[in-house]
Amino acid sequence: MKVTLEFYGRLKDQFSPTPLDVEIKNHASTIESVYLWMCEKHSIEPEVESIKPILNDTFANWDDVVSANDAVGFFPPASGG
Amino acid sequence: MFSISNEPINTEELKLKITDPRSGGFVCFEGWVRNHNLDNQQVNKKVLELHYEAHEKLAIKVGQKIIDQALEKFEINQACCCHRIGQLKVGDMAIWVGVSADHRQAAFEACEYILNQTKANVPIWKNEHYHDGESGWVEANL
Repeated sequence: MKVTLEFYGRLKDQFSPTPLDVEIKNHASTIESVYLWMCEKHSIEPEVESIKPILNDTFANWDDVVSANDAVGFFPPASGG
Repeated sequence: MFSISNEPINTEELKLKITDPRSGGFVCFEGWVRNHNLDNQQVNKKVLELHYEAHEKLAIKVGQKIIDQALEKFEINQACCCHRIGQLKVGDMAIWVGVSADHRQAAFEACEYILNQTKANVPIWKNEHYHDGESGWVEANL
């Protein structure tokens, strides 16, 4: 199934500056498993504690299951102000 | 009210939103782009400009929740915050927080609360561009 991954802030430099369409083979994937797969692919140390996931523009949990055509986003800690 | 702006922040317009006949005091904070900052290696760098990006939909949602919390937590009458996004130069205003209240102490406390909560929780990220040509995403400075 196709899923779109969106990275924000410094995660853009680590993963992708633009949304990525990826093909997920396991239909029971969670946001966490997709994130860990991306980390492995980019040789990046996972930061599950500090990153907040979103699913279709709504705050989500790491164990939420990803469905076909979902947009999954990853927020690093905020640094506004 | 919490807002995100692509344009220079119009402080007079925002001030009107928190004008209230019950209020005897008004406190505001303006955050400006300064010309220097420590990078992530704690090296003092000359800042040329900043780029702020946000997830606008969630930034407004989280920001409004902070305003609502401040209105409940402190004895204030009105509160407003606007955060700028996009490319900003040294001296530009990045954030404006305004609070009006019957008395000054609650207004000062609520203003600081809104500022701190916004910096910590609203999905906005700052990318600094330095005079030496380098750039870097800034870690939270709470």
